[in-house]
Amino acid sequence: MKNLKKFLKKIPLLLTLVLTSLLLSLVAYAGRARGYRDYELDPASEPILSLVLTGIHDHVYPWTDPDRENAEKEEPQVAQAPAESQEAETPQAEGQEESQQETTEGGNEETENSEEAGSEEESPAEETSEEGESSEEGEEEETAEEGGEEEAPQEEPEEEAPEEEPAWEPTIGEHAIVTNTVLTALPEGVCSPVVEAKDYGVASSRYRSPSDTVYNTDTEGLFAYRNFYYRLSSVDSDYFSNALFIGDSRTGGFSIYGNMNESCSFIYKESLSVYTVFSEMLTYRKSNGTSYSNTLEEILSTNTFDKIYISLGVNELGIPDTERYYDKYRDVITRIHEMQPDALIFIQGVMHVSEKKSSSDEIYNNTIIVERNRAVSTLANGWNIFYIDMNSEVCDENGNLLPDLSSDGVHLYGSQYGRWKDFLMENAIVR
Amino acid sequence: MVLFSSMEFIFRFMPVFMIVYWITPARYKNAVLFGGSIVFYASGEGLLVLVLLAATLVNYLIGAVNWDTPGRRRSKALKAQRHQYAMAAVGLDAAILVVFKILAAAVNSSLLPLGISFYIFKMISFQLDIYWDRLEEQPSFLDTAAYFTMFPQITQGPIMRFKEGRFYKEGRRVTPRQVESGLVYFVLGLGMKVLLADRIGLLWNDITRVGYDSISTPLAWMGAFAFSFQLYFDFWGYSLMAGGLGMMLGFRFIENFDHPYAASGIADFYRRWHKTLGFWFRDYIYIPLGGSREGVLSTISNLMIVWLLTGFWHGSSVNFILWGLVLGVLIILEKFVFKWFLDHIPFLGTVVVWILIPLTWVIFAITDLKALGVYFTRLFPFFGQEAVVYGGDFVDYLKTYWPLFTASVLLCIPATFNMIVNFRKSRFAIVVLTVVFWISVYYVNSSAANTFMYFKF
Repeated sequence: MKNLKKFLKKIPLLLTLVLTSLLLSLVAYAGRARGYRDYELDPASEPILSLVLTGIHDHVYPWTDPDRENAEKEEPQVAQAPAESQEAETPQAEGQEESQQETTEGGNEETENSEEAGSEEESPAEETSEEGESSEEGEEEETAEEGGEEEAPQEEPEEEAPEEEPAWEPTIGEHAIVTNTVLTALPEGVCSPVVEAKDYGVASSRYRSPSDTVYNTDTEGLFAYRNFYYRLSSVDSDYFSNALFIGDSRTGGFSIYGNMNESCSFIYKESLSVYTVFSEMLTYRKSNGTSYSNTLEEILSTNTFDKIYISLGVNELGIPDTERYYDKYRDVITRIHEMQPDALIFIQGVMHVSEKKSSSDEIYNNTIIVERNRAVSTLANGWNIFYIDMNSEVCDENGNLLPDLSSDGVHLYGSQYGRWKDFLMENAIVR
Repeated sequence: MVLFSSMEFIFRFMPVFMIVYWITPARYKNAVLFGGSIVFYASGEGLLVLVLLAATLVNYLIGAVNWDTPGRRRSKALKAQRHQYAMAAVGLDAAILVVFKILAAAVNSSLLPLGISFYIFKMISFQLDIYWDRLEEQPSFLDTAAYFTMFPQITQGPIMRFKEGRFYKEGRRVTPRQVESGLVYFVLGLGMKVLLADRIGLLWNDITRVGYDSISTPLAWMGAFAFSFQLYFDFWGYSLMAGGLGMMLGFRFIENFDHPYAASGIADFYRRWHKTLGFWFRDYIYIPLGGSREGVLSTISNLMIVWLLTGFWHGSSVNFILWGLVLGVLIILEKFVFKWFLDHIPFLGTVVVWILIPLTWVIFAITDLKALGVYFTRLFPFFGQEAVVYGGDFVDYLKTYWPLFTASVLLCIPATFNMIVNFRKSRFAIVVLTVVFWISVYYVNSSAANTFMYFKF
């Protein structure tokens, strides 16, 4: 016993490290049933205590309830896909007045329900009811357009039902193109086309969704088409004076080297994704150089922006799969729209990577990027949400990022961000 | 697993191997070390372990044939024969290294066996030590194989000499104190690499990403220092881990870095930087060529040969040759032209080190010569034109990186590190080391747990 004590006294650090390892392992074992339940562990190469460390990184602890965590993550998705709206799609597409009437009723019911429930996720319901209103008012609107006064008739229903009419009903400005029927697809020139890329066959299927996955455009609510749309046109750089750019490190680079005008704002963080954009502290930076940390939530609730550009999607490439990405992207746009109802929202397609990367990396390749760009491009509605794709400015004929523009095949050189700005100036929406 | 700073190494290979090794009787320890090292190497390099095994076998055989009891009288014929064998062995080893380097440069970098630059240099020193009668006893196969392949040194050195290793049977005992000291060095090295080198290195990544033509001059200098610190603490940290692991196996600590940034000149810097490589070049190239004994011209040419070879040893692209050339010229100038100034003006040598060495590391870092030229026009903005430069970039980076720069500078002062080592047995030090260990492991874990997390854009 005395010898053992003497022996242990000689190795205090070894002893401390062994004991702390054992302690962490015990914590990990204890948390396996609860907080760490959903973590995968390869015991051949990873010690069980790495669960604790990974947990700290993810803010998950042994006592964290994994079901609640998941529920929080899934919540917006569940709220997003009410069965009614899916059922309503077919009749709407056929353009029959009767079924539109049915939808309206369904929509109103839903509004009531969600108001009773007091849920945070009111938006789909609100949109539904609003859409119902607008189809009722369809005739009046058309008449008014013929007379050249679009705004007057819209004010009336607002007075009649001020609670149900959201504030974000857009005015149909001089650049809007009005059609007689509700669109079933956006005409050319409303969004920029998704730039294709050569498939080198290295993309892991884990991160993709089946090729027959359909990303339907809603027939009602925020993402639905209207009987009018805007076309992309070119503008000068004053256009961005009240714009906000949200994104990852690429947007960070753009904020510094994009040479944007002084009142333009950026909010970004390295490794930012659609999954974390609302939960992390980000860098908020004005083009005049001032920058500080803040959350997107805070920035959106204390400022008003005319245009909001979103550039996310690279850091999500390693998270399965495209459908989940699409769903989350949809949630993010819904939430941004709720907070900034008058802003134009631009979904910027993910910039492609270089051929070197695309032909060898099972995650960071253009095959997955194009698939995901295609999916989120369907979120554009042609009147306040648009998809733009700057890859036409920076890619070769195989859709690979030109090697001279980037050292890592992912980020543009500082000197090349002008291409991005030029593209945005050529692909803007004027309302 | 071949990375010391990985969960697999720290929590799987290291504890399992160490326990097996410690309970193995002394006479079988070399066999366990050889076996464990082969497992370690093969886990990362797969079939390229065969190159290591083949080179080990061939070098053992030539060494065994050439073995002769030191101090014995030899006939002329025997002397000639021993010379031939030694030269053949050295030539063969050098050829293996050159062939694989060329293969890697021309075909695919994955063809370069991990650590070949280090184990081949060990093999050459082994052959010449036998030829020059520097070994007292004939090494057995297991002694030799354990020496060549031992996992602490296989990937990045240090280039230990056979004699330093006490490989002969029953020559190596492991005491608890040794294990404890080894662990202290290991944790210090781990912290240096993970908490300092890896993180300050991100600044260099950012600069490369932005493009050298778009950085301000202050940022260009910050980048040069960031890269210098990254390289230093990565390599010093790694060497401390290797030395610490060696101690835990019962070897003495092999010192590879002796505070180079406190050096009194460029030549002195390289007597303190990667010492085992510098001494290898001195003992096996420079002195056999005649060293500095045969006049100024011969000394100059010997120095240039050594530095060109040093450049080529680090990499086969042109910038490494240029790096070696520049250092050769600087050392020659220091030795023959500016010696008086350096000797008579206090601290001048150290100032020169802090200005010139980071510049040489820039040459070391940038493999593309054109890009290297652009970087130097940003360091010295008197010529060349800038692209899109954001003048305040260095302020942003300084806000993020000043703690790392401060820590780096402090650790360049010899007293800082010596104090840590001297107080390593205090209770306070144990607590600090434990914290350093777990924060490092946290970083290691979060960058390795998910493959995609390693890439953050």
